[in-house]
Amino acid sequence: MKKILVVDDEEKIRRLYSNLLETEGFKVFETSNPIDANEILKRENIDLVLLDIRMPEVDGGILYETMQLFHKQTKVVVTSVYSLSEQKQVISGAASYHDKSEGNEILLTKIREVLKDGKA
Amino acid sequence: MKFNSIKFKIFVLYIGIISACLISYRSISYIKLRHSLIKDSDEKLLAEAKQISNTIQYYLKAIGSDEQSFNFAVRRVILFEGEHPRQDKIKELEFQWIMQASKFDLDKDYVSFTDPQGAPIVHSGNLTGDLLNRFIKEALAHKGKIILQSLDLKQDNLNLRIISIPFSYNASQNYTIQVGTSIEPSIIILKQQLRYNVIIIPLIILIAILGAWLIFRQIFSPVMEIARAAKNISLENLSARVKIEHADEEMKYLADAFNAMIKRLEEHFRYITQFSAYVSHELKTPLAIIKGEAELALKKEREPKEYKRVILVTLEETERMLRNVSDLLLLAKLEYHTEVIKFEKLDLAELLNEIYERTKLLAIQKDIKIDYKLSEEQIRVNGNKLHLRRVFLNLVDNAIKFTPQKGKISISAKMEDGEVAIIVSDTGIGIAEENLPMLFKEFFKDEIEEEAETIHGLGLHIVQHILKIHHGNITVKSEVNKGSTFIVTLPLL
Repeated sequence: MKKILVVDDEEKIRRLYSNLLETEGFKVFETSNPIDANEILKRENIDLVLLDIRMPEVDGGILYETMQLFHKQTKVVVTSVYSLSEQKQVISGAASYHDKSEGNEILLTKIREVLKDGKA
Repeated sequence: MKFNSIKFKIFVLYIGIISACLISYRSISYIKLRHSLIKDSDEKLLAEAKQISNTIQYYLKAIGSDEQSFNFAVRRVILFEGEHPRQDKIKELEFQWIMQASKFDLDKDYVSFTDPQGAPIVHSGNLTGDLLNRFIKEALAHKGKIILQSLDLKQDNLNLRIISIPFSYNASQNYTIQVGTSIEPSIIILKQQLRYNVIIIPLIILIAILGAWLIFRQIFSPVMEIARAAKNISLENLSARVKIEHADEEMKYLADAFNAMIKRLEEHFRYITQFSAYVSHELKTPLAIIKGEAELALKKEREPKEYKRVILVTLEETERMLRNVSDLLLLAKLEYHTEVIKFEKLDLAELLNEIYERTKLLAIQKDIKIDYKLSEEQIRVNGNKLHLRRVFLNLVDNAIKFTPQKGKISISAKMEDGEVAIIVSDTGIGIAEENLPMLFKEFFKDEIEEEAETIHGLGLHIVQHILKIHHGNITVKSEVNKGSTFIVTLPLL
């Protein structure tokens, strides 16, 4: 079973994604702060991270940098309410990007592609 | 050069004035010159004619005034010809006359002596044909008065000035002495002046035009600079500024004002951009949640409990959006349309009492003690009741929210120096020191708690704004896990 870590400020988003992904057969971990995220990444063998970037403060960016250093094999799907092009300007080089307003099915598709091919 | 431009108008005015001054000055000079040349010439003629007249009279006195003597005198004075028996009597006179005549240049002039009927008795050798006739005509016309006339004979290339004066002989008889002199030299001088003017005047005007062009370039180049910078300014490119070296005072003033305006625009645009980003995030996130939950719920059959949960989430997020929208509208109003907010004289004590009553109910649920003390029974201020209520509700609600069970909050008001200070403090979780400076900044979001959304983000920023337009202020002191104290000041009526 693939393990997914959801990092997001919004509790309701975390709950939604947890429900969604567990129904699809993933093991889900969730947290709102980068420090806990780091702990979870160390403890568990996380396959994919759903990382929310809050613009304009870009907290997610720091965690992303850390992951590039220490957990390069873990794939990252950047999530945000901003458009894909705007997200790519903030963090480039992630496995995939998701605009939350596009809905669940597209998210699931992207997650599956990333887990399979490494990129979506 | 456009006809509607300042340049054109100033140019026309400037060249017009210069031309008008130049032309009128040169014309007046020319006219005066001509006048004085003619006057000179006329005075000479008059002196000459008079002298001829006087000399003839002297001769007659010396040799007698019989007809023979008369004819001799006239001939002798004018032509230096003739003989007379008593000629030795006028030796002295002749000598004087010859001296005077040479001073007059008599041989160059045209002299004529006519009888009362107009017949010429004596005339100088150069007076012939048509010219002579003209002389005679004038002589007849003068009728015993001194007359000066100009005579322009183009065919003989002559320009004469003629004087006719009466000469009396035999008491009642009116003979005429006429002297004509060429004013050719004067005419040459005048022609020269004219030629000179015709060259100089356009030349000066040309130089003036050149000068104007150069000066205009220097004066108006800052204006063109500013126009060019203005054209280049757009939302993406607000960094344009006008740089002017060696500017005139007025242009520097204009350039500075322009640059200041751009700076203000830059700030406003930056604010708007931040504002938009904040709005889009704060509205899109609830929408993403609602959409996600709805999609998930509809994927397959769910328990009623689950549907209820999803509907509840939808409701919560919708209310969150509504709050955000009305907050943002209020913020916009505070920023740009403060005149819309109505002020009235109100009693702050009454307002605070209201809030205290309301808060008591909330506090009981968490077993929190409220310490409520106002220094006066009446606190009169000028303000908007609705907005001020929001401010204090906001502060007091937060105090309760962030204070744990069995904690304590205190609300007090104190008057001092024309101001009232309202202090709301709690024994709650407090605010981290590094977050304090950001607390009132717009669009700031604290990550501590979810409920933080209601005080941070727009909340405290709006509070500060409301107080600002009331000419008041808000400050905060806080320590983590000890509590926070908010102090609001307002001017008293």
